[in-house]
Amino acid sequence: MIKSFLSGLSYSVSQAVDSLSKNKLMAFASVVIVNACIFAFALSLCIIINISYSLDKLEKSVGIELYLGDTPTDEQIRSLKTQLEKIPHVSSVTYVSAEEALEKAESMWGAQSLEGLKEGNPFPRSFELKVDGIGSQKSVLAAVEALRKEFERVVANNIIITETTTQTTTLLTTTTRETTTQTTTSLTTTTRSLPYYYIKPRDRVASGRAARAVTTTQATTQATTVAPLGLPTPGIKSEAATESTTMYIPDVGADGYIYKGIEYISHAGLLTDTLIALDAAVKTIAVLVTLLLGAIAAGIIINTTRLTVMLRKNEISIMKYIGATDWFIREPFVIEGLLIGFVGALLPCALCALIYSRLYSYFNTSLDMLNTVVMLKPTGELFAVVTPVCLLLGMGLGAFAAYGATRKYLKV
Amino acid sequence: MIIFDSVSKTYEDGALGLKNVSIHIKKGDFAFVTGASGSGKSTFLRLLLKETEPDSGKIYIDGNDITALKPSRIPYLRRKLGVVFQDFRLLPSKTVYDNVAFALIITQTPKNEIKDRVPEVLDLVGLSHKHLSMPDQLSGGERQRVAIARAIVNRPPILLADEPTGNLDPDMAWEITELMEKINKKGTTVVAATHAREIVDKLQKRVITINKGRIVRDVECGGYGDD
Ligand SMILES: Nc1ncnc2c1ncn2[C@@H]1O[C@H](COP(=O)(O)OP(=O)(O)OP(=O)(O)O)[C@@H](O)[C@H]1O
Ligand SMILES: [Mg+2]
Repeated sequence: MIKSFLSGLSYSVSQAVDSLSKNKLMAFASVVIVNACIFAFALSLCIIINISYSLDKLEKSVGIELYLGDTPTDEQIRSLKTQLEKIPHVSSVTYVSAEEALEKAESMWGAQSLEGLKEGNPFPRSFELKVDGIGSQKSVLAAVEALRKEFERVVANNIIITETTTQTTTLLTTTTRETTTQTTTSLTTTTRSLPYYYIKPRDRVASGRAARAVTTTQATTQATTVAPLGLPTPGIKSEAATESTTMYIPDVGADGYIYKGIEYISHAGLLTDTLIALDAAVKTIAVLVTLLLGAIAAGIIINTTRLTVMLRKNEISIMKYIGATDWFIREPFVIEGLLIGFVGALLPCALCALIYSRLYSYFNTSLDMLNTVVMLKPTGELFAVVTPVCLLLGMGLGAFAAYGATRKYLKV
Repeated sequence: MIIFDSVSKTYEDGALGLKNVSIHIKKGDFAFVTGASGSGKSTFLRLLLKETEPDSGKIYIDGNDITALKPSRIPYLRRKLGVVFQDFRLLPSKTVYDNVAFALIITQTPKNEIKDRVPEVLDLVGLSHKHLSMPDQLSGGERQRVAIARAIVNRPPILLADEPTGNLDPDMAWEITELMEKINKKGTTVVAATHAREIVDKLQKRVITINKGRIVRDVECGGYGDD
């Protein structure tokens, strides 16, 4: 049984190869047509995948930052962290200490420009929240707001939210270390999407460690430089740094209450809304365009195959008369369709990959600035998806079309 | 061997194929089917090949009712019926040898058996020396002999021929007829639809005459008749 199946298959394959080599022109034309269709399809697939890839990256970079006041104790912050982590759709909570914030700022703008800040660190402690999807941003924000009120009560009464302590005592120290690398990489994207890096108002910096802060030299003279918001920036020399920092003013509740726990919540609300709208639109268009191109490719491939089968309808009817089974007649055509689909899809994929890899390296070297907006997916990763999809489309359609086209002539 | 039991066939467009035909063709018979153009000769053969279905009546081959056959079994029915047409119907891209071997390949005959049987049957039809020729390098008579070789290489019990000599000059036609008689003598039942009066007269075999879908004459041993 298996042996006869295999011998049948080997017959079909040799028959398919034979017929392809005998009808070279037709085979060539078919391959070229499939090439063109799949090329257009692959190209659109590349574009679509990249758009949603960029969007995803952008969406992931949109997080929520909670800037903490000086009042909460470490223990209170620890328990806040566990509370934050319990919020549904929050994928990660990273604690950033004042020192870490300063280090980051230094690594971005150079230690020199921040020299004056060493003593009176103006950076607040903060939490960076990552949300599992942009659609969850709103609900998470609401939950954070609720938590903030509760936290305020805790801070005001200097109590600890009970249930948490034992399991999380070590959490703060360990996780911050673990996540440092992750944070620094994500920081670049975070700050790119956020125009400013927030620091505490000057009077509050002074309040704790003022005495030493004033002793700084030249930097202090420049400390009065007017920042974009019209507020004095403490001790930052470089222009770039000045442009990238601003002060936050602690949020004020409805009754004029000034928050002491979570002083300020930063999130890109407008960006979020735009991204949500864009995401839906782009994904709909992407699916439509892919379907359309896929359908056009399918139509052309099916018609081409139909033609090749039609050219051999005499052969088919002769085979029917001498008692060939439908499958026996069909198999060589289907294998032929598979072969044409395979070659027809592989070539444009290779071409696309070549063009894309050039484009990719061009974007990543010459156009570094643009790279922050257009985030191209690495060639390998992209074509690990595009190539199988195209091969599947080409071979699937080739085989399906051959199957369908022979049907008609098999009804003898 | 072949039994038609009150078989009627009218085509979709209303054309009459056969009308209430009952006939029995015995094993080893050589039967001519004659009649004017459009009388229903080809319809008779087509029904045997299950190329078309009767409206009513039953058709038996070897005692099996072929009208009840599932479509998927049709290929296996056709392997028991060698068939030859007026226009030869050879595969133009295959050699004489391959055209004949093809009938064995589709029945998944083992390779070494194919190697034995093709030369054997080419020898029978007298074309051993042309086994590498392409169909378009052959005369009409030679092509028909290749077609006959292909039809009988599977050793079917029945050989059907629809105007096998229709495209041939008288000499060639007679050669083909002699070949079919030779095959019939080896035990194969032969049914041939024909217009060739001289051949029918000369051979003196069973003659079934159809007129407007009905059998109007059936002689065991006779000539073309007078119509
Ligand atoms: N596939 C078909 N569809 C519709 N009508 C058909 C079909 N085949 C045959 N007919 C009609 O059925 C009738 C019988 O045709 P058939 O081919 O059996 O005649 P025939 O005796 O073989 O004629 P000829 O000697 O010319 O070959 C004719 O009127 C013909 O037009
Ligand atoms: Mg006819």
